[in-house]
Amino acid sequence: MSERSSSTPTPGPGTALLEVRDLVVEYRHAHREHRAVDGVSFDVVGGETVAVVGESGAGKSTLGRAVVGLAPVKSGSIRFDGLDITRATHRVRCGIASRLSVVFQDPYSSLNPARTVRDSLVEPLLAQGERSKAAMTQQVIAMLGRVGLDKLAADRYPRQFSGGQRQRIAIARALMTSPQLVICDEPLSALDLSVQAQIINLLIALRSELALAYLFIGHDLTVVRHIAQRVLVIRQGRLVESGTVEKVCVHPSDPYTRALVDAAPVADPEAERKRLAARIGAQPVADGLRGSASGIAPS
Amino acid sequence: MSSTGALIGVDTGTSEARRPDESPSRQGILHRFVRRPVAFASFVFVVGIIVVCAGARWFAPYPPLATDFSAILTGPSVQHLLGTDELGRDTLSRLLYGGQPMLLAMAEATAIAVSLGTALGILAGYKRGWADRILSGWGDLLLAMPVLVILIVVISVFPSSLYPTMLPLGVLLSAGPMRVVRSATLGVREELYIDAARVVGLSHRRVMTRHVLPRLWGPIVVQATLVSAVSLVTASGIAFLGFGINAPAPSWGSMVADAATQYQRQAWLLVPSGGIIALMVLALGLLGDGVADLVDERWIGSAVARVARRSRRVRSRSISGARRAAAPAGTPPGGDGSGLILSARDVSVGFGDGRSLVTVVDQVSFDLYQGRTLALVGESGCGKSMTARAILGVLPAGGRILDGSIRLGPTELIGASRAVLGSVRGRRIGFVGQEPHASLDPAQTIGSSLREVLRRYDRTLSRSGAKHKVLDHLARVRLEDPERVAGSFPHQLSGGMAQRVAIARALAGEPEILIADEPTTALDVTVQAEILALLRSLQMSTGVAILFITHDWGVVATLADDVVVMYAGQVVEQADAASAFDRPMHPYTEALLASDPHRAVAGQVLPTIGGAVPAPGSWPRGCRFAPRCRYASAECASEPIELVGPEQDRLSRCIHVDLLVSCT
Repeated sequence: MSERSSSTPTPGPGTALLEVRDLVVEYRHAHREHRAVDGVSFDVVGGETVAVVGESGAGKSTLGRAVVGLAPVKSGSIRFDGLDITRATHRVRCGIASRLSVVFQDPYSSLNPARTVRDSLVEPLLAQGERSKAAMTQQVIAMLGRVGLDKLAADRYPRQFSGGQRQRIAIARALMTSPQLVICDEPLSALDLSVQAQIINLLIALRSELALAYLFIGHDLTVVRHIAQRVLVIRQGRLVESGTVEKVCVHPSDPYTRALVDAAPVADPEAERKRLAARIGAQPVADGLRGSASGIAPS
Repeated sequence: MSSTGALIGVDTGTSEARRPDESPSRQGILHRFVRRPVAFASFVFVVGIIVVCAGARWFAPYPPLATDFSAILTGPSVQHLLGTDELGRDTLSRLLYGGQPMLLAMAEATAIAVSLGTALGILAGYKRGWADRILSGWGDLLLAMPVLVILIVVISVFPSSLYPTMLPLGVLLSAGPMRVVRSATLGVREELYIDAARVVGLSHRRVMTRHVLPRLWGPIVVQATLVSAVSLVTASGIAFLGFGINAPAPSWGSMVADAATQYQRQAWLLVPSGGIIALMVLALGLLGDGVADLVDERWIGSAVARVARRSRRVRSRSISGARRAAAPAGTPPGGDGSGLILSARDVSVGFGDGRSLVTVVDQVSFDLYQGRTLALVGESGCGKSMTARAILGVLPAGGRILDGSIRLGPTELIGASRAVLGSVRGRRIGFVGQEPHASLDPAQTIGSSLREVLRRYDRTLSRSGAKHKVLDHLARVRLEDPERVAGSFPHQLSGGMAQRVAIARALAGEPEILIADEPTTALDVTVQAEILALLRSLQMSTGVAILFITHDWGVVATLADDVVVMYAGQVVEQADAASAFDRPMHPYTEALLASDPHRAVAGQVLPTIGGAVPAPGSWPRGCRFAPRCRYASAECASEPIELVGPEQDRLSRCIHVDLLVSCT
């Protein structure tokens, strides 16, 4: 199913969980229109993960924000589970809010520092009209366990957690209402690489446990390939390449995608030295590497 | 740990990890309040006055109107603690009864001003656009109103009661809280959690009450105390003029007026009546400050405020302390050190002092050599940045170097005078930070900020000479069209260009050392590759030594000659870059390398290190990595582990090196 939608981004209506067609988003900035997203179409099928990759300013985050109604859509359409939500009213948004949620990039800003973790986590339930305190507390504790946090975390404030733990809390909040689709807006970029691996594993585990679909926005192709089935590459608001992970990350056809793949550093000094030398356009600098390891401090 | 637990990296109990200070939410608010004696005393005073005034019927020794002609205008005495007035009425009793109308009037005006100002301020800041323009206009209008004229008009309509006058006063005073709340709301509005709440389906009204309002309690409390002080003074003033209070009934304002007529016969009368107003105003101001801190402390954390307050004291002490420590440790580094530029020995950095001292960098040693790059690697919270900042002598408020020696050639930097450090920073050690835009002055063009730096390094430099040099420096960091860049403001540059400018500025003083603190973390991968290439080529042409701080092994592989791995404030491994990748000799290095998602095989569960870096202050006694280490044994936890050299030119803080090497 994913193959079909990747090559022809216009399957019949109603087959995909999320259908975006010819989406154009424009911001007015100082009386000038800035087109952040320019005619992008794609689908996300239930249970699959589609990654959107591009450099900063490419419009990938705007794309995600448009899906949840936080960016001004100029033209095109967004359908969620068959329902047109392009310019949905607050009432319509409330109706789908339990099935469509977001994890934001910055876990320091996405949690209200003045509210406890419990307060943040029950919010989606409150918005859905849940009133029973006991039931909500039970759900909060269950969800904290699911994302690998102790239940004591519920009564603490965000500042008492590290970046990775905060992102777990943000993920827990996004999953409180058992959504079908989670927009992950660069959820890794504020984290250490070693913590990124933990969060990726968590997202993958939750995906299979809860049958989630992700629209995963990121900038690092080598990281994205661990979680996504399909990849969309965006440049200056336009879709430049899309396809399966193997196709885009291993055999990119577009020169821009290839540049992205090539630029990602690999943790192999030998290979990196060669690439660096090629970039500098100078003789290999590898001799500085093997020589005397004189950086060692006699202690 | 169950398999799913391992899969999602359950960190058992590590929510404790980030708590160097006691959790304020667990302590009683009273307990925290008592720790601020000034605010607490003010609170006791204000509440005490309110209680005794409200209960004047019970507390006052005499009725307010009871006259005693045998004791007229006495000073303080046993019968009349605060003396009597010209009719022999007890001043203390009248003060207590007289407080009632004053405090009620104050409460009325304050309640109106704060509730109106807060509601309109949140609305204006949250809705922005038209609502903001109209409401801001309304606020300006209120400020432009002649308060006195309006109050006099209202008084002339209701001359016998104070309370109708307080209504317009409250409305007029609402402009202050409204402006403060509006601008605070504008800031909060940009936070991602507001977006998150909207996406969840909360209505605007609930977002305002649930998310915006709780963030504003601090400024609101301050405004409330300011407004109440102003309205108390205003109400007293009206009563002083003889309005609002019916003659024999006491009030603080009319008591001042009475005292003023009698002051040649008994000057003492002015002291209690005027004093109570002055003390109330003072106490309200002090209370506001204290409570605002207290309210926010719940989620900001008290340690920050405490440390900031103490920073000045600590600073002067730290230098003398560091000098003392430096003396025995000041053995010159190895005489064979050809190209040795900087040598750090046993550098420790801490925050706070006495019992609250928290060490964040613990006896770190390394050397920087000409033309070589040393990568300082580790997760967030391991003390990498603090180490770099210690070298530059720019620790954050409250931080200080506890011990050790940092030698730049013959110069000892720890404990050095401000003049020496000033001549070293920029000129001998350059610095590039993570956020290129944050490091550039947004109000200055690139050219003018670079010129400023260049002329500081070389005072003889002429205007036109500086201009030329700026272009040279911009060209050196391979910016195309340096002239255009020099004429641009920082916001007109992309992240990559801004970082090039930051590098140009860091190298403008031709330093021997460049400290780069995650300079590419905020950049795209393609730009990162260019910046790394630029740094390497600049190093090849100038021979600058680079101290590169990163958590990305890909960057280490690209640029580093030598690697120092830090964990929980300590150096745990030191090696040349190739060996660190081939044969890591510390389990942390090995685990960190394995958990790099760039190295992982797609489609498999990514290897991770369970748990998190322990926070400073809660480091284990033995090996600090032991709780997360797969080789850990009982002996690891018993004693602190020494840094040893298992092979030539390598250091490792692990007693299981053999095990580690045989496994890889």
